Amino acid sequence: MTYMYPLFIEKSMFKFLLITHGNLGQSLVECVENNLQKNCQNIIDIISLNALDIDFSRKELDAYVKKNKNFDIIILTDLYGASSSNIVKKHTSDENIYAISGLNLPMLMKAVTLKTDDIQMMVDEIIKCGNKSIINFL
Amino acid sequence: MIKKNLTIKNELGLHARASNKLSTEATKFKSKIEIIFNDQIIDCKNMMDILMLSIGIHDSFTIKISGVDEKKALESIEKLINNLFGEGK
Repeated sequence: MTYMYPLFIEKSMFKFLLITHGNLGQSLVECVENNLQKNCQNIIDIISLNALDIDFSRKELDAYVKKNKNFDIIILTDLYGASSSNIVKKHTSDENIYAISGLNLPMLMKAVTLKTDDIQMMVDEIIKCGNKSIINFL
Repeated sequence: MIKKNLTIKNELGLHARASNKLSTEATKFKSKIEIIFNDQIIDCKNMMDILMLSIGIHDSFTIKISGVDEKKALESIEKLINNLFGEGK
């Protein structure tokens, strides 16, 4: 695991895992913390994709899933169709794994401020927020 | 139920940190608190929904509060807005 960060939700039975290219995941988490001005209590984990060795990232993910088998895991990836998303497909039959692509800052802010334990509702709200935040505003 | 028009006075409007402060304040109360702006009605306890309204300085919106502690909630929210969300300008 390349990076661990505390988040807001206390005593949760779920975790967020960001799988992103480069330092995108780490930067997004820093932006969320900066915007919300809070010390986070829970954790969000990040796998920064190793472009030179996708197998390494795949193994990282497998180890993470194995280690956290008692948690529901919401995986947020940055690019559908890319390796960051493709390495997750192996786990689609795992009942505790949820995966969302197209990660952006509003989605992550939504994720950490959600006040529900209903995982499916969380997934739906995160996706809805991501879609709603893309606006032609001029 | 209380309804009141409020005007944002801080320079940056309801940006991310201000939206977070407003939703955090609203969450302290049991009452249902809604913001009505440009024909949209959103839950004032939801930071991202506030943010997405893109309310700027001098913009006015209606706050609608209903519940046992509605008066205290309104006072608290008005104080936060008049205090410029602690941003100084």
